[in-house]
Amino acid sequence: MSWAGRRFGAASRGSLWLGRSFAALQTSAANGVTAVLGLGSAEEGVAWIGSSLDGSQPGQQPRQWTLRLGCGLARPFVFRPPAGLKSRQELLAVARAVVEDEVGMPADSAIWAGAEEADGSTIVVVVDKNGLLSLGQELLGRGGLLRSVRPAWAELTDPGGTADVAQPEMLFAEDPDGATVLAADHGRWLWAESTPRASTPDEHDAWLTRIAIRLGWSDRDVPRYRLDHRTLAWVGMDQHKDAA
Amino acid sequence: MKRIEAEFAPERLPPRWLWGGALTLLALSAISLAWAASEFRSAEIELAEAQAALVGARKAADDAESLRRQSAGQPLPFEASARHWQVEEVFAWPDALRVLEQVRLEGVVLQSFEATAESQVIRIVIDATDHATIARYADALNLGTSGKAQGAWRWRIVSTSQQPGYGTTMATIEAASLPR
Repeated sequence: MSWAGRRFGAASRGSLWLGRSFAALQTSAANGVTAVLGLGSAEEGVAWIGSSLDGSQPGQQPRQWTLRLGCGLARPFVFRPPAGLKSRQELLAVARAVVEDEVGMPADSAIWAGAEEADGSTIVVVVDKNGLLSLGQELLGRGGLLRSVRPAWAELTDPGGTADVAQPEMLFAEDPDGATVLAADHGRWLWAESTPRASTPDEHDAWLTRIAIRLGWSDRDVPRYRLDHRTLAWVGMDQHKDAA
Repeated sequence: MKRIEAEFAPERLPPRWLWGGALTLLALSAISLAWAASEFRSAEIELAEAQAALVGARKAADDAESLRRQSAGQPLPFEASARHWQVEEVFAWPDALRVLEQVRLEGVVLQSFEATAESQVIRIVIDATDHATIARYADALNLGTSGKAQGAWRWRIVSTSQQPGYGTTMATIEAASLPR
């Protein structure tokens, strides 16, 4: 139903994916996913999304969007703060001070910190704001809003999410930007790291093996997922385990 | 694995229906407020009118009380003068004087004439040769007043006394006005 150029009824929500090297768009569940790979920056992805929306009919564009970020734009790290912090604000301030050293992103990036563990450690996610701001302005100019912005790899930790995840304690997620490893022991975060896209698949394997050895675990049973750029769903990399 | 709740949405606006509800509530509140203000103004006007009426009623009651007190006992400032003027007005002493001028009797000399309006009495003092002359003079005054004089005066001899060495008798005669 529409009136005065605005649509009413059930709110439609579009989906966007954005990374340093890729972008994807899905305006509705009925429509397929349109994606582009091999980009040089997030700004190129934002420009590609804008031009893709220009090609669709204005009345068919969703007003609300969800955005999932590749590991090139959203990177995690496990933060073990120094003793003596008195508040969450102090924890965030100290975490922001080490963002550049931990993930190589500017200190003015957007950060999110999870709940503190008993020893004070927590997981911190850092997002490059520049891509977010330009994308938000692009959508706002078309009457759209970003209702949810999350790391794409964080979807794998969602019970009942898009992926079939059986509560693993160690996780490997690969998207066009690179790969992310999360490791936890009984709910306590041990490792969280993203690495840029490797030139060969063996480099990611070696990286995962090094992390597993450091944690004293085996990398054989680590669930591995890859973001399928055609469907933008996480799919298991069973062929890796079969080869092993 | 524990869910990572990281959320970086730049803004989370409430749904449109909530804005509509809020605006509706705001409009209803504004209408209610305007209605209440109007009622308050009406009540204020009614209160002012009632206060004005109360003040008028109190003033009227005060005026009535003042008049009642004045009529009950407290004399008006001009009352004494008015009463004196009234007494003087009804006191016909010129008629008595006219009678005295008309009645002339040999052997009688008028010594004094005193007219007191408050007591409505005229008192004269005469010297006469003897008591018989005094009696005739009193009769002449009464006769004069019964027929010719306008004022109705009743003259009577109050006292007489001999004047040793002068050979005369002094008499005091008073006249009181008869009821008209």
